Amino acid sequence: MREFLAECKNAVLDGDRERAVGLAVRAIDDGIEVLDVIEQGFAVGIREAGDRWEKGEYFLPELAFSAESMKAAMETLRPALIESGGKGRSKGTVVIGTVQGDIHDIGKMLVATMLAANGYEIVDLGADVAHDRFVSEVKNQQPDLLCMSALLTTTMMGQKTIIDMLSEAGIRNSVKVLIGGAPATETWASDIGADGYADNAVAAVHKADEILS
Amino acid sequence: MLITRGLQPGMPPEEWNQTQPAKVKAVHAEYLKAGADVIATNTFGGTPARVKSFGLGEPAAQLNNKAIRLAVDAVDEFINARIRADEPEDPTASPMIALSLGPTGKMLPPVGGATEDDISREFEAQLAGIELSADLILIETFFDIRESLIALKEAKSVFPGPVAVTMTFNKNPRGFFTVMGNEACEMMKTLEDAGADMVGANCTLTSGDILTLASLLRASTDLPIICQPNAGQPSIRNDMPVYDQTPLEYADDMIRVLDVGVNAVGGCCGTTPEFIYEVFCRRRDRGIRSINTKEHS
Repeated sequence: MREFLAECKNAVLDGDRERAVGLAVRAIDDGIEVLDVIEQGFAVGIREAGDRWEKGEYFLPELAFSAESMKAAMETLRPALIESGGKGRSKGTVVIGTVQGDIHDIGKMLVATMLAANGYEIVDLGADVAHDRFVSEVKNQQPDLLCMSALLTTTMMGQKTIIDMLSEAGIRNSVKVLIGGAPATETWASDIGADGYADNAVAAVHKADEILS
Repeated sequence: MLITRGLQPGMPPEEWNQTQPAKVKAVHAEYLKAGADVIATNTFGGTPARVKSFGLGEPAAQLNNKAIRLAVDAVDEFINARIRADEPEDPTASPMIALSLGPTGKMLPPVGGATEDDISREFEAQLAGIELSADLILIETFFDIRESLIALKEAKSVFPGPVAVTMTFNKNPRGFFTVMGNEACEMMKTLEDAGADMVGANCTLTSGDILTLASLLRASTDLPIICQPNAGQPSIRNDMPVYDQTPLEYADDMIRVLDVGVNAVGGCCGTTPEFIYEVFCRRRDRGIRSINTKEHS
Protein backbone atom coordinates (compact mmCIF):
# COMPACT_ATOMS: atom_id res chain seq x y z
CA MET A 1 0.00 0.00 0.00
CA ARG A 2 2.76 2.41 0.92
CA GLU A 3 4.43 1.67 -2.38
CA PHE A 4 1.19 2.36 -4.26
CA LEU A 5 0.74 5.71 -2.51
CA ALA A 6 4.33 6.63 -3.35
CA GLU A 7 3.61 5.82 -6.99
CA CYS A 8 0.61 8.16 -6.89
CA LYS A 9 2.72 10.91 -5.37
CA ASN A 10 5.47 10.46 -7.97
CA ALA A 11 3.05 10.45 -10.91
CA VAL A 12 1.90 13.94 -9.87
CA LEU A 13 5.39 15.11 -9.01
CA ASP A 14 6.67 13.96 -12.42
CA GLY A 15 3.68 15.61 -14.07
CA ASP A 16 2.73 12.35 -15.77
CA ARG A 17 -0.99 12.69 -16.40
CA GLU A 18 -1.49 9.28 -17.96
CA ARG A 19 0.25 7.51 -15.11
CA ALA A 20 -1.77 9.50 -12.56
CA VAL A 21 -5.07 8.58 -14.23
CA GLY A 22 -3.96 4.95 -14.53
CA LEU A 23 -3.21 4.80 -10.82
CA ALA A 24 -6.54 6.44 -9.98
CA VAL A 25 -8.37 3.80 -12.04
CA ARG A 26 -6.38 1.05 -10.32
CA ALA A 27 -7.24 2.47 -6.91
CA ILE A 28 -10.95 2.31 -7.74
CA ASP A 29 -10.69 -1.18 -9.28
CA ASP A 30 -8.77 -2.51 -6.29
CA GLY A 31 -11.21 -0.88 -3.86
CA ILE A 32 -8.58 1.19 -2.11
CA GLU A 33 -9.94 3.92 0.19
CA VAL A 34 -10.20 6.91 -2.15
CA LEU A 35 -9.54 9.52 0.51
CA ASP A 36 -6.29 7.81 1.47
CA VAL A 37 -5.21 7.71 -2.16
CA ILE A 38 -5.80 11.44 -2.45
CA GLU A 39 -4.50 12.64 0.88
CA GLN A 40 -1.54 10.31 1.28
CA GLY A 41 -0.76 9.90 -2.41
CA PHE A 42 -1.64 12.43 -5.08
CA ALA A 43 -1.96 15.44 -2.74
CA VAL A 44 1.48 14.74 -1.29
CA GLY A 45 2.80 14.96 -4.83
CA ILE A 46 1.17 18.31 -5.57
CA ARG A 47 2.40 19.72 -2.26
CA GLU A 48 5.94 18.59 -3.01
CA ALA A 49 5.71 20.11 -6.51
CA GLY A 50 4.72 23.33 -4.75
CA ASP A 51 7.70 23.08 -2.41
CA ARG A 52 10.01 22.58 -5.37
CA TRP A 53 8.53 25.65 -7.04
CA GLU A 54 9.22 27.70 -3.91
CA LYS A 55 12.80 26.44 -3.81
CA GLY A 56 13.28 27.45 -7.42
CA GLU A 57 13.62 23.85 -8.60
CA TYR A 58 10.31 23.73 -10.46
CA PHE A 59 9.02 26.39 -12.86
CA LEU A 60 5.70 27.03 -14.56
CA PRO A 61 5.92 24.17 -17.06
CA GLU A 62 6.69 21.58 -14.34
CA LEU A 63 4.02 23.01 -12.06
CA ALA A 64 1.50 23.08 -14.92
CA PHE A 65 2.19 19.40 -15.70
CA SER A 66 1.89 18.44 -12.01
CA ALA A 67 -1.30 20.42 -11.51
CA GLU A 68 -2.81 18.89 -14.67
CA SER A 69 -1.96 15.38 -13.47
CA MET A 70 -3.46 16.09 -10.07
CA LYS A 71 -6.62 17.48 -11.64
CA ALA A 72 -6.96 14.50 -13.98
CA ALA A 73 -6.51 12.05 -11.09
CA MET A 74 -9.10 13.93 -9.04
CA GLU A 75 -11.61 13.88 -11.91
CA THR A 76 -11.15 10.12 -12.21
CA LEU A 77 -11.63 9.65 -8.49
CA ARG A 78 -14.54 12.06 -8.05
CA PRO A 79 -17.42 9.60 -8.72
CA ALA A 80 -15.96 7.13 -6.24
CA LEU A 81 -15.37 9.93 -3.79
CA ILE A 82 -18.98 11.10 -3.98
CA GLU A 83 -20.20 7.53 -3.66
CA SER A 84 -18.17 7.07 -0.51
CA GLY A 85 -19.91 10.13 0.95
CA GLY A 86 -16.87 12.34 0.69
CA LYS A 87 -18.59 14.66 -1.81
CA GLY A 88 -15.23 15.91 -2.90
CA ARG A 89 -14.79 17.45 0.55
CA SER A 90 -14.83 20.93 -0.89
CA LYS A 91 -12.90 23.40 1.22
CA GLY A 92 -14.97 26.22 -0.21
CA THR A 93 -16.06 27.94 -3.41
CA VAL A 94 -13.69 30.30 -5.18
CA VAL A 95 -14.58 32.82 -7.88
CA ILE A 96 -11.45 33.71 -9.80
CA GLY A 97 -10.55 35.92 -12.77
CA THR A 98 -8.10 38.37 -14.33
CA VAL A 99 -9.33 41.96 -14.22
CA GLN A 100 -10.59 43.97 -17.18
CA GLY A 101 -7.96 45.14 -19.65
CA ASP A 102 -5.64 42.30 -18.77
CA ILE A 103 -5.59 39.21 -20.96
CA HIS A 104 -2.98 37.40 -18.89
CA ASP A 105 -4.42 34.01 -18.14
CA ILE A 106 -1.43 32.00 -17.11
CA GLY A 107 -0.95 32.87 -13.43
CA LYS A 108 -4.67 32.94 -12.78
CA MET A 109 -5.13 29.58 -14.50
CA LEU A 110 -2.40 28.06 -12.41
CA VAL A 111 -3.86 29.43 -9.18
CA ALA A 112 -7.26 28.03 -10.21
CA THR A 113 -5.74 24.64 -11.01
CA MET A 114 -3.75 24.50 -7.80
CA LEU A 115 -6.77 25.52 -5.70
CA ALA A 116 -8.87 22.85 -7.47
CA ALA A 117 -6.12 20.31 -6.93
CA ASN A 118 -6.20 21.19 -3.26
CA GLY A 119 -9.92 20.69 -2.81
CA TYR A 120 -11.61 23.99 -3.67
CA GLU A 121 -14.59 24.36 -6.00
CA ILE A 122 -13.59 26.80 -8.73
CA VAL A 123 -15.69 29.23 -10.77
CA ASP A 124 -13.20 30.54 -13.32
CA LEU A 125 -14.39 33.74 -15.01
CA GLY A 126 -11.41 33.79 -17.38
CA ALA A 127 -9.34 36.83 -18.33
CA ASP A 128 -10.29 40.45 -19.11
CA VAL A 129 -13.31 40.23 -16.79
CA ALA A 130 -15.41 43.40 -16.45
CA HIS A 131 -15.43 44.96 -12.99
CA ASP A 132 -19.19 44.64 -12.52
CA ARG A 133 -19.09 40.98 -13.56
CA PHE A 134 -16.90 40.22 -10.52
CA VAL A 135 -19.50 41.95 -8.34
CA SER A 136 -22.47 40.14 -9.90
CA GLU A 137 -20.71 36.76 -9.69
CA VAL A 138 -20.03 37.34 -5.99
CA LYS A 139 -23.74 38.08 -5.56
CA ASN A 140 -24.85 35.05 -7.55
CA GLN A 141 -22.30 32.41 -6.59
CA GLN A 142 -21.87 33.52 -2.97
CA PRO A 143 -18.30 32.22 -2.92
CA ASP A 144 -16.12 31.94 0.16
CA LEU A 145 -13.24 33.51 -1.69
CA LEU A 146 -12.76 35.94 -4.57
CA CYS A 147 -9.38 35.84 -6.33
CA MET A 148 -8.35 38.62 -8.70
CA SER A 149 -5.24 38.70 -10.81
CA ALA A 150 -3.65 41.68 -12.57
CA LEU A 151 -0.39 41.44 -14.45
CA LEU A 152 -0.03 45.05 -15.45
CA THR A 153 0.40 48.22 -13.43
CA THR A 154 -2.28 49.68 -15.68
CA THR A 155 -4.80 47.04 -14.63
CA MET A 156 -3.94 46.53 -10.97
CA MET A 157 -6.05 49.59 -10.10
CA GLY A 158 -9.00 47.47 -11.19
CA GLN A 159 -8.48 45.29 -8.12
CA LYS A 160 -9.13 48.33 -5.94
CA THR A 161 -12.11 49.43 -8.03
CA ILE A 162 -13.73 46.02 -7.63
CA ILE A 163 -13.19 45.93 -3.87
CA ASP A 164 -14.74 49.40 -3.63
CA MET A 165 -17.67 48.22 -5.76
CA LEU A 166 -18.20 45.23 -3.44
CA SER A 167 -18.32 47.64 -0.49
CA GLU A 168 -20.80 49.90 -2.26
CA ALA A 169 -22.98 46.88 -3.05
CA GLY A 170 -22.86 45.98 0.66
CA ILE A 171 -21.35 42.53 0.03
CA ARG A 172 -17.70 43.16 0.83
CA ASN A 173 -17.99 41.35 4.16
CA SER A 174 -19.65 38.30 2.65
CA VAL A 175 -16.50 37.17 0.87
CA LYS A 176 -12.75 37.05 1.47
CA VAL A 177 -10.65 38.67 -1.24
CA LEU A 178 -7.26 37.42 -2.35
CA ILE A 179 -5.22 39.30 -4.95
CA GLY A 180 -2.21 38.39 -7.03
CA GLY A 181 -0.27 39.16 -10.19
CA ALA A 182 3.23 40.39 -10.94
CA PRO A 183 2.91 44.01 -9.76
CA ALA A 184 0.81 43.22 -6.66
CA THR A 185 2.39 43.08 -3.22
CA GLU A 186 1.40 42.56 0.42
CA THR A 187 1.38 46.35 0.90
CA TRP A 188 -0.79 46.82 -2.17
CA ALA A 189 -3.24 44.21 -0.81
CA SER A 190 -3.59 45.98 2.51
CA ASP A 191 -3.75 49.41 0.86
CA ILE A 192 -6.75 48.43 -1.23
CA GLY A 193 -8.48 46.48 1.53
CA ALA A 194 -7.97 42.92 0.28
CA ASP A 195 -7.76 40.09 2.81
CA GLY A 196 -4.56 38.69 1.43
CA TYR A 197 -1.95 38.55 -1.28
CA ALA A 198 -0.09 35.65 -2.83
CA ASP A 199 2.76 35.95 -5.28
CA ASN A 200 2.38 32.49 -6.77
CA ALA A 201 -0.06 29.60 -7.09
CA VAL A 202 1.41 27.63 -4.21
CA ALA A 203 1.32 30.62 -1.89
CA ALA A 204 -2.27 31.22 -3.01
CA VAL A 205 -3.29 27.79 -1.71
CA HIS A 206 -1.56 28.43 1.64
CA LYS A 207 -3.18 31.84 1.88
CA ALA A 208 -6.64 30.53 0.94
CA ASP A 209 -6.35 27.80 3.62
CA GLU A 210 -5.24 30.41 6.13
CA ILE A 211 -7.90 33.05 5.56
CA LEU A 212 -10.76 30.57 5.29
CA SER A 213 -9.78 28.53 8.33
CA MET B 1 2.65 58.06 -16.70
CA LEU B 2 -0.55 57.63 -18.66
CA ILE B 3 -2.52 56.65 -15.56
CA THR B 4 -1.59 59.93 -13.89
CA ARG B 5 -2.91 61.60 -17.04
CA GLY B 6 -6.25 59.86 -16.74
CA LEU B 7 -5.89 56.43 -18.36
CA GLN B 8 -8.61 54.41 -16.64
CA PRO B 9 -7.93 51.05 -15.01
CA GLY B 10 -8.55 48.33 -17.54
CA MET B 11 -8.09 50.50 -20.58
CA PRO B 12 -5.28 49.65 -23.01
CA PRO B 13 -2.52 52.28 -23.17
CA GLU B 14 -2.24 51.70 -26.94
CA GLU B 15 -5.74 53.10 -27.45
CA TRP B 16 -4.38 56.52 -26.56
CA ASN B 17 -2.28 56.56 -29.73
CA GLN B 18 -5.63 57.00 -31.41
CA THR B 19 -7.75 58.87 -28.87
CA GLN B 20 -5.27 60.94 -26.84
CA PRO B 21 -2.23 61.47 -29.09
CA ALA B 22 -1.29 64.77 -27.43
CA LYS B 23 -0.98 63.10 -24.05
CA VAL B 24 1.20 60.28 -25.40
CA LYS B 25 3.43 62.82 -27.11
CA ALA B 26 3.63 64.87 -23.92
CA VAL B 27 4.98 61.84 -22.07
CA HIS B 28 7.68 61.38 -24.72
CA ALA B 29 8.54 65.07 -24.37
CA GLU B 30 8.96 64.74 -20.62
CA TYR B 31 11.43 61.88 -21.00
CA LEU B 32 13.36 63.74 -23.69
CA LYS B 33 13.55 66.75 -21.41
CA ALA B 34 14.79 64.48 -18.61
CA GLY B 35 17.74 63.56 -20.80
CA ALA B 36 16.72 60.23 -22.34
CA ASP B 37 18.78 59.29 -25.40
CA VAL B 38 16.20 56.71 -26.44
CA ILE B 39 12.43 56.78 -26.06
CA ALA B 40 10.20 53.75 -26.51
CA THR B 41 6.97 53.82 -28.49
CA ASN B 42 3.58 53.17 -26.88
CA THR B 43 3.21 49.81 -28.64
CA PHE B 44 4.06 47.25 -25.95
CA GLY B 45 0.63 45.60 -26.22
CA GLY B 46 0.22 46.24 -29.93
CA THR B 47 -0.18 42.71 -31.25
CA PRO B 48 -3.51 41.99 -32.98
CA ALA B 49 -4.57 39.54 -30.24
CA ARG B 50 -4.32 42.26 -27.62
CA VAL B 51 -5.62 45.09 -29.76
CA LYS B 52 -8.61 42.95 -30.69
CA SER B 53 -9.26 41.78 -27.15
CA PHE B 54 -9.55 45.41 -26.14
CA GLY B 55 -12.08 45.98 -28.90
CA LEU B 56 -10.02 48.67 -30.58
CA GLY B 57 -11.46 49.34 -33.99
CA GLU B 58 -8.19 49.80 -35.78
CA PRO B 59 -5.83 47.25 -37.31
CA ALA B 60 -2.76 46.70 -35.14
CA ALA B 61 -0.26 48.01 -37.70
CA GLN B 62 -2.11 51.33 -38.02
CA LEU B 63 -2.20 51.83 -34.27
CA ASN B 64 1.50 51.02 -34.08
CA ASN B 65 2.30 53.44 -36.90
CA LYS B 66 0.44 56.17 -35.06
CA ALA B 67 2.56 55.43 -32.00
CA ILE B 68 5.78 55.68 -34.01
CA ARG B 69 4.61 58.94 -35.55
CA LEU B 70 3.97 60.39 -32.06
CA ALA B 71 7.50 59.49 -30.96
CA VAL B 72 9.00 60.94 -34.17
CA ASP B 73 7.02 64.16 -33.71
CA ALA B 74 8.11 64.43 -30.08
CA VAL B 75 11.77 64.05 -31.07
CA ASP B 76 11.40 66.60 -33.91
CA GLU B 77 9.80 69.14 -31.61
CA PHE B 78 12.48 68.52 -29.00
CA ILE B 79 15.31 69.11 -31.50
CA ASN B 80 13.65 72.21 -32.95
CA ALA B 81 13.26 73.68 -29.48
CA ARG B 82 16.93 73.03 -28.82
CA ILE B 83 17.96 74.65 -32.07
CA ARG B 84 15.82 77.69 -31.30
CA ALA B 85 17.37 77.92 -27.83
CA ASP B 86 20.80 77.60 -29.44
CA GLU B 87 22.01 75.18 -26.80
CA PRO B 88 25.78 74.92 -26.54
CA GLU B 89 26.03 71.14 -26.99
CA ASP B 90 25.21 69.92 -30.50
CA PRO B 91 21.56 70.95 -30.69
CA THR B 92 20.88 68.71 -33.68
CA ALA B 93 22.01 65.46 -31.97
CA SER B 94 18.93 63.30 -32.27
CA PRO B 95 17.50 61.04 -29.55
CA MET B 96 16.62 57.59 -30.84
CA ILE B 97 13.28 55.82 -31.04
CA ALA B 98 12.82 52.22 -29.97
CA LEU B 99 9.78 50.34 -31.24
CA SER B 100 8.59 48.44 -28.17
CA LEU B 101 7.24 44.89 -28.63
CA GLY B 102 5.76 42.99 -25.68
CA PRO B 103 4.63 39.36 -25.34
CA THR B 104 1.42 38.35 -27.12
CA GLY B 105 -0.22 36.97 -24.00
CA LYS B 106 -0.67 33.65 -25.83
CA MET B 107 1.06 30.74 -24.11
CA LEU B 108 2.87 27.83 -25.68
CA PRO B 109 2.43 24.31 -24.23
CA PRO B 110 2.48 22.99 -21.59
CA VAL B 111 1.16 26.15 -19.97
CA GLY B 112 -1.10 27.23 -22.84
CA GLY B 113 -2.47 25.91 -26.10
CA ALA B 114 -0.95 28.33 -28.63
CA THR B 115 1.32 27.09 -31.41
CA GLU B 116 4.54 28.75 -32.55
CA ASP B 117 2.73 29.64 -35.79
CA ASP B 118 -0.01 31.45 -33.83
CA ILE B 119 2.62 33.58 -32.16
CA SER B 120 4.56 34.21 -35.39
CA ARG B 121 1.39 35.48 -36.99
CA GLU B 122 0.81 37.94 -34.13
CA PHE B 123 4.20 39.60 -34.54
CA GLU B 124 4.03 39.39 -38.31
CA ALA B 125 0.73 41.29 -38.23
CA GLN B 126 1.97 43.81 -35.68
CA LEU B 127 4.96 44.58 -37.90
CA ALA B 128 3.18 44.39 -41.26
CA GLY B 129 3.34 47.72 -43.02
CA ILE B 130 5.11 49.32 -40.09
CA GLU B 131 6.98 52.53 -40.81
CA LEU B 132 10.68 51.95 -40.54
CA SER B 133 11.41 55.27 -38.90
CA ALA B 134 12.26 53.71 -35.54
CA ASP B 135 16.01 53.42 -34.83
CA LEU B 136 15.77 50.05 -33.18
CA ILE B 137 13.26 47.43 -32.14
CA LEU B 138 13.09 46.66 -28.42
CA ILE B 139 11.58 43.27 -27.67
CA GLU B 140 10.99 43.46 -23.91
CA THR B 141 9.53 41.74 -20.85
CA PHE B 142 9.52 38.26 -22.42
CA PHE B 143 9.58 35.23 -20.15
CA ASP B 144 9.46 32.29 -22.57
CA ILE B 145 12.60 32.04 -24.69
CA ARG B 146 10.61 30.38 -27.48
CA GLU B 147 8.37 33.42 -27.81
CA SER B 148 11.41 35.75 -27.65
CA LEU B 149 13.03 33.89 -30.52
CA ILE B 150 9.88 34.09 -32.62
CA ALA B 151 9.60 37.86 -32.01
CA LEU B 152 13.29 38.29 -32.84
CA LYS B 153 12.94 36.34 -36.07
CA GLU B 154 9.88 38.32 -37.17
CA ALA B 155 11.54 41.64 -36.27
CA LYS B 156 14.70 40.73 -38.18
CA SER B 157 12.73 39.72 -41.23
CA VAL B 158 11.22 43.18 -41.73
CA PHE B 159 13.55 45.58 -39.93
CA PRO B 160 17.05 46.38 -41.19
CA GLY B 161 18.19 48.13 -37.99
CA PRO B 162 19.33 46.68 -34.66
CA VAL B 163 16.99 44.48 -32.63
CA ALA B 164 17.35 44.30 -28.85
CA VAL B 165 15.77 41.54 -26.73
CA THR B 166 15.37 41.84 -22.97
CA MET B 167 13.68 39.22 -20.82
CA THR B 168 12.20 39.46 -17.36
CA PHE B 169 13.77 37.40 -14.60
CA ASN B 170 12.82 36.51 -11.05
CA LYS B 171 15.41 36.03 -8.34
CA ASN B 172 15.10 32.66 -6.65
CA PRO B 173 17.37 30.71 -4.30
CA ARG B 174 19.18 29.18 -7.29
CA GLY B 175 19.73 32.33 -9.34
CA PHE B 176 17.84 34.36 -11.93
CA PHE B 177 15.20 32.58 -14.00
CA THR B 178 12.13 33.51 -15.98
CA VAL B 179 8.87 32.11 -14.68
CA MET B 180 9.26 29.39 -17.33
CA GLY B 181 12.61 28.36 -15.90
CA ASN B 182 14.84 29.98 -18.54
CA GLU B 183 18.15 30.78 -16.81
CA ALA B 184 19.34 34.36 -17.40
CA CYS B 185 22.92 33.80 -18.64
CA GLU B 186 21.94 30.90 -20.89
CA MET B 187 19.25 33.12 -22.42
CA MET B 188 21.79 35.82 -23.30
CA LYS B 189 23.84 33.23 -25.20
CA THR B 190 20.79 31.76 -26.90
CA LEU B 191 19.63 35.21 -28.04
CA GLU B 192 23.14 36.10 -29.21
CA ASP B 193 23.28 32.90 -31.29
CA ALA B 194 19.88 33.75 -32.78
CA GLY B 195 21.13 37.10 -34.04
CA ALA B 196 20.03 39.64 -31.40
CA ASP B 197 22.05 42.87 -31.53
CA MET B 198 21.57 43.75 -27.88
CA VAL B 199 20.35 41.63 -24.97
CA GLY B 200 19.44 42.19 -21.35
CA ALA B 201 16.85 42.25 -18.59
CA ASN B 202 13.88 44.45 -17.74
CA CYS B 203 10.89 44.69 -15.38
CA THR B 204 10.15 42.58 -12.25
CA LEU B 205 13.47 43.20 -10.48
CA THR B 206 14.44 46.29 -8.48
CA SER B 207 17.58 48.24 -9.32
CA GLY B 208 19.43 46.49 -6.47
CA ASP B 209 18.64 43.01 -7.81
CA ILE B 210 19.39 44.03 -11.38
CA LEU B 211 22.85 45.10 -10.17
CA THR B 212 23.53 41.54 -8.97
CA LEU B 213 22.22 40.17 -12.26
CA ALA B 214 24.17 42.68 -14.37
CA SER B 215 27.61 41.28 -13.58
CA LEU B 216 26.40 37.75 -14.35
CA LEU B 217 24.99 38.91 -17.69
CA ARG B 218 28.18 40.78 -18.53
CA ALA B 219 30.21 37.60 -18.13
CA SER B 220 27.83 35.64 -20.35
CA THR B 221 27.94 37.57 -23.64
CA ASP B 222 30.03 40.02 -25.67
CA LEU B 223 26.93 41.77 -27.01
CA PRO B 224 25.88 45.19 -25.71
CA ILE B 225 23.65 44.76 -22.65
CA ILE B 226 20.55 46.76 -21.63
CA CYS B 227 19.16 46.79 -18.07
CA GLN B 228 15.80 48.39 -17.25
CA PRO B 229 14.57 47.46 -13.75
CA ASN B 230 11.42 48.64 -11.98
CA ALA B 231 11.50 51.47 -9.45
CA GLY B 232 11.03 48.96 -6.62
CA GLN B 233 7.70 47.45 -5.59
CA PRO B 234 4.34 49.09 -6.28
CA SER B 235 1.85 50.31 -3.70
CA ILE B 236 -1.03 52.75 -3.86
CA ARG B 237 -1.05 56.40 -2.77
CA ASN B 238 -4.00 58.68 -3.46
CA ASP B 239 -5.51 56.12 -5.81
CA MET B 240 -2.35 55.97 -7.94
CA PRO B 241 0.19 53.18 -8.10
CA VAL B 242 3.56 54.35 -6.81
CA TYR B 243 6.85 52.49 -6.52
CA ASP B 244 8.95 52.45 -3.37
CA GLN B 245 12.41 53.40 -4.63
CA THR B 246 13.57 57.01 -4.84
CA PRO B 247 15.17 58.43 -7.99
CA LEU B 248 18.42 58.87 -6.03
CA GLU B 249 18.62 55.25 -4.84
CA TYR B 250 17.75 54.09 -8.30
CA ALA B 251 20.34 56.25 -10.04
CA ASP B 252 23.01 55.11 -7.56
CA ASP B 253 22.36 51.49 -8.46
CA MET B 254 22.20 52.21 -12.19
CA ILE B 255 25.63 53.87 -12.11
CA ARG B 256 27.01 50.69 -10.56
CA VAL B 257 25.21 48.69 -13.26
CA LEU B 258 27.07 50.74 -15.87
CA ASP B 259 30.30 50.24 -13.95
CA VAL B 260 30.07 46.46 -14.27
CA GLY B 261 30.01 46.89 -18.02
CA VAL B 262 26.36 47.19 -18.97
CA ASN B 263 26.02 49.41 -22.04
CA ALA B 264 22.61 50.99 -21.71
CA VAL B 265 20.39 51.61 -18.71
CA GLY B 266 16.85 52.83 -18.43
CA GLY B 267 13.71 52.19 -16.51
CA CYS B 268 10.62 50.02 -16.55
CA CYS B 269 7.52 50.19 -14.31
CA GLY B 270 7.45 53.21 -12.01
CA THR B 271 10.47 55.00 -13.45
CA THR B 272 9.04 58.47 -13.99
CA PRO B 273 11.11 61.18 -15.75
CA GLU B 274 12.62 62.09 -12.35
CA PHE B 275 14.36 58.69 -12.28
CA ILE B 276 15.71 59.09 -15.80
CA TYR B 277 16.82 62.64 -15.01
CA GLU B 278 18.83 61.44 -11.98
CA VAL B 279 20.49 58.75 -14.08
CA PHE B 280 21.14 61.30 -16.83
CA CYS B 281 22.80 63.73 -14.40
CA ARG B 282 25.13 61.07 -13.03
CA ARG B 283 26.02 59.82 -16.47
CA ARG B 284 26.33 63.13 -18.24
CA ASP B 285 30.11 63.18 -18.21
CA ARG B 286 30.61 59.57 -19.18
CA GLY B 287 28.71 59.79 -22.45
CA ILE B 288 26.75 56.56 -22.03
CA ARG B 289 23.24 56.37 -23.34
CA SER B 290 20.20 55.91 -21.15
CA ILE B 291 16.92 54.44 -22.25
CA ASN B 292 13.49 54.92 -20.86
CA THR B 293 10.49 52.82 -21.68
CA LYS B 294 7.11 51.83 -20.31
CA GLU B 295 5.51 55.17 -20.51
CA HIS B 296 2.21 53.45 -19.93
CA SER B 297 3.29 52.37 -16.45
